[in-house]
Amino acid sequence: MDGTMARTKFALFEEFQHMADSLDLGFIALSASGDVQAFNTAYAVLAGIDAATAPKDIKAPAALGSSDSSPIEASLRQQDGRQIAVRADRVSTGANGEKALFVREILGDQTLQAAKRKHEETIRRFDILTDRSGMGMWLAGPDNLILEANPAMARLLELAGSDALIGQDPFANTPLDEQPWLRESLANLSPDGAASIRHNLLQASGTVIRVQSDMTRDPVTGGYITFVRDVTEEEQLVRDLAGRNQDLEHFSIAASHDLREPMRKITIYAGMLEEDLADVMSDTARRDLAVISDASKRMSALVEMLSVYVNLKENIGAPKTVELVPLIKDVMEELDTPDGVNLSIDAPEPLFIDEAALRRLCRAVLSNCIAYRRQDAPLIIQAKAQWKSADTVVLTFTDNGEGVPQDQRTAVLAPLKRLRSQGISPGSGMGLAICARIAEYYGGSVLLQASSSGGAVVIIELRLTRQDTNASLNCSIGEQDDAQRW
Amino acid sequence: MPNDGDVVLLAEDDPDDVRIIRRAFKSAGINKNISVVGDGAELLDYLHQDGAYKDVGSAPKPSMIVLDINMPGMNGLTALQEVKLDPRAASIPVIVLTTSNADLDIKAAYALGAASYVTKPQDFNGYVEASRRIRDFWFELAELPTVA
Repeated sequence: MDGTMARTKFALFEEFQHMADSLDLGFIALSASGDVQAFNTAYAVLAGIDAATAPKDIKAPAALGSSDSSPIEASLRQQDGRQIAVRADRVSTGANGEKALFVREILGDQTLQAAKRKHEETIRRFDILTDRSGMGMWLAGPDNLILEANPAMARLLELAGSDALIGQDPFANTPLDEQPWLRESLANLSPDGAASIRHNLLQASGTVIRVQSDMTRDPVTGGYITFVRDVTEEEQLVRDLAGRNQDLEHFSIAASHDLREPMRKITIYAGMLEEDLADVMSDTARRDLAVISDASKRMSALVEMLSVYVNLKENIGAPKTVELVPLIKDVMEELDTPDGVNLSIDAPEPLFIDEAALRRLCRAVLSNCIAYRRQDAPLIIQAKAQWKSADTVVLTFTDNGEGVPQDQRTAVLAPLKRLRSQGISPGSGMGLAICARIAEYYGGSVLLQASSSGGAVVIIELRLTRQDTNASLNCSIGEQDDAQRW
Repeated sequence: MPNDGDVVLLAEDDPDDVRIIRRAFKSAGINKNISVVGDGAELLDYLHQDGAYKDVGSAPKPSMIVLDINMPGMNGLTALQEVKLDPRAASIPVIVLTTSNADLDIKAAYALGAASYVTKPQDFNGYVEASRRIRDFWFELAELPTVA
């Protein structure tokens, strides 16, 4: 054999070996004189040898090399001395008499019985497993006849036992003949041979239940296995939940409009009253009227914030690229910021997020920094955005304010929780709750800690798609915005 | 009866709000008569001198329409669309004055031809201030079409 031919042969052998291995079929190539040229892993298992052994170091049964007939039956002696009967099918014969054969074990009655027992045991265990989960299972051959079905499947159909299903054609026989879903599910099998559909299932009593069928075709046998679970209750729960969500939505619409409307009128009419009685009203009456007006405005703002909180997730829009530095500066401009605030922002990369949500989040944190600042020192705020991993950014806001007592750091993330009474510090008590909800929407969380100066550190984790994947994970390398003084 | 052009037509279903707007306009020095209709259908009847406004002189032509969105029956946006489709009324500036600050409503109002969109203020001083600005712009700076 010249070099080119040897290489061609070798490539052919390689292909045979892989193919045979994938079918768990032994492969062996022999020279005209019966020397082993190549073999695959499955043959090594049959012969009881190490697959890494060089071909020249093993011997094949003489019958394989000498006989020209096909198929050949031969006895193969394994390394431990056990003899097994094998059958070899010649798949190639070279010009010089070299042969390539597929080899498989001839199973005796005893072995066949053992294999059958093993198969039955597997099915039994499978039945137990699927049964415990209440999941029906049926296995069909390529002719669509049911080969196996578990007790749970029989219960789903209200049959006395799964034996009644075996041998049936689920497309033709009662009670399954009224199940057009079977055809539908087969028609919907994906290219990889799987389908998952929800459909009605007719029980023997005539009751219709909802089930989910997950079918997978076996590419080797042409049959398919189907897992069936009852989703009647689950679908009812989903419907109930949808109904409740709708009720909640109606309530929030009512809250955002109908409840605020009377509040607005109280404020306005208090203003009109104040104007009408400007000349005759005592200072006490004027103060009382101002209290009514303020309380009504606060109530209105509170209702609006509650409405924002309830509808927040539904109102978060599509993400876009947002630069954090100008956004934070803009928010600070909007807020009632005291003089002399020292703000530094370290956010070298833009974020891919809904801008309104990010603005709301920053506004809530920064307004708290301002509301809970110390009166005896200028307010210092450090904002930082740092990528913790490829898809998680951490926004950290550190201030030198009054801080949040350790035992309240979780409680203040709930709606309507305030650190101080309304008279001392304004605010709705909804800011951090809204932050937590936004973070939750983005698969993250909010954590409060104490800063080194005793102030608060608000750590917000958000799972976002990173825009600049080449940027360093360590933002401190990036450009830092100069501290800005308000 | 006021003359044509001396009237601001207010489409507002809430009598409390009507009182507020009347008073704020007065405080802001808008010396116009305010005619009130309670919903979109009545607004169209007024402009078309139909229904309750058939009598001569009962519906003097307005120089401006102030329109609430949330009204029973025909709402403000539908009425706005009808007004802008009517050649006799299309040139009258319509100011939307509503509690809604929904982006959807704002876009729809402008798309349908609103001259401006104002959210109802939360206190009386806010109303007076908004009315002053309406006066300054619409009745002092801007030229309005002649009411025939």
